[in-house]
Amino acid sequence: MASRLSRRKLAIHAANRLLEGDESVIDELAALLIAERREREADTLVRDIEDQLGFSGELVVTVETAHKIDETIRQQVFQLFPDKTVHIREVIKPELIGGFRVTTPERVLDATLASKLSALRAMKV
Amino acid sequence: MDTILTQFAATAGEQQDLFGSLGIDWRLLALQTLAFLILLAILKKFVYPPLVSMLDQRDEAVKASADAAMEAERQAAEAEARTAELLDEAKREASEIVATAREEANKLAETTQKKAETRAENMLENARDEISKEIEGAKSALRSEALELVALATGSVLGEKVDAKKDKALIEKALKEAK
Repeated sequence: MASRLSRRKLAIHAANRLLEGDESVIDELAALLIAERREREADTLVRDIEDQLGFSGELVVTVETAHKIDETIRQQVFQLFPDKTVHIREVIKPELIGGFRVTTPERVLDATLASKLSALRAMKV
Repeated sequence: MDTILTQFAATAGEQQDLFGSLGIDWRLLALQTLAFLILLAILKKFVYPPLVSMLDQRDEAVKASADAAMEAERQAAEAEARTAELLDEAKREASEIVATAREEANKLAETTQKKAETRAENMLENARDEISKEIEGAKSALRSEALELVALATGSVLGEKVDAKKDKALIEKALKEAK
């Protein structure tokens, strides 16, 4: 019985194939995770793949907002990472109320109204 | 009267019959005198010495008794004086002991009172600290609750007021600040 591949190796392999333009690796990975009953690792594997892509200059950025963003906003997000090829993943969360949250493999930029209200709650007067 | 005068009108020749006329027999008188002297001698030799000796002894005994009585009296007086002295000393010592005991009791009472006061003060201080802490805790809880309510209210109001247009303005402003 073949030993399980580590998540890191899977991520490196998937990132390389995606950079080559081969998107079928995603389906293969999904099948592998199901076969090996590793469905719970899916989110973590995606983050690992995004990290590997980031090393190669391909940055996956998650943009969370309360409302749908337009092209103007997208262009401004691209301008935040001038040296990288940015791929935006848009997530709409009404509970954020307003503002945005940009998440990259290396950091999180949270400018949402919900986070400001949370900070208010956490204030110790 | 004539008889008496007749009798006293006797001559010197009748003097030798004076003892006879008085009824005194000079030979008997001499014998009686001798007997008396012999008796006296015998008494002096055999009776008076022991008698005198006995009297002297009795006298000495009485004197000794008197001396003994005086001595006993003197000793009784001395014993009484000594007893009085010991009694005074005992009273003095008893007074000192009572005074010392009273002083120690007062000191003990004072110390106990001070300890009790200190303990009471400490308890009061602890109680005050406890109350202060509880008040601060209540204030903190109240502030937290107030902040929570403010955040909830603000979130609710903002959720209603912030539309897509205002949100876009917010995002653009935040992106400019992030650059």
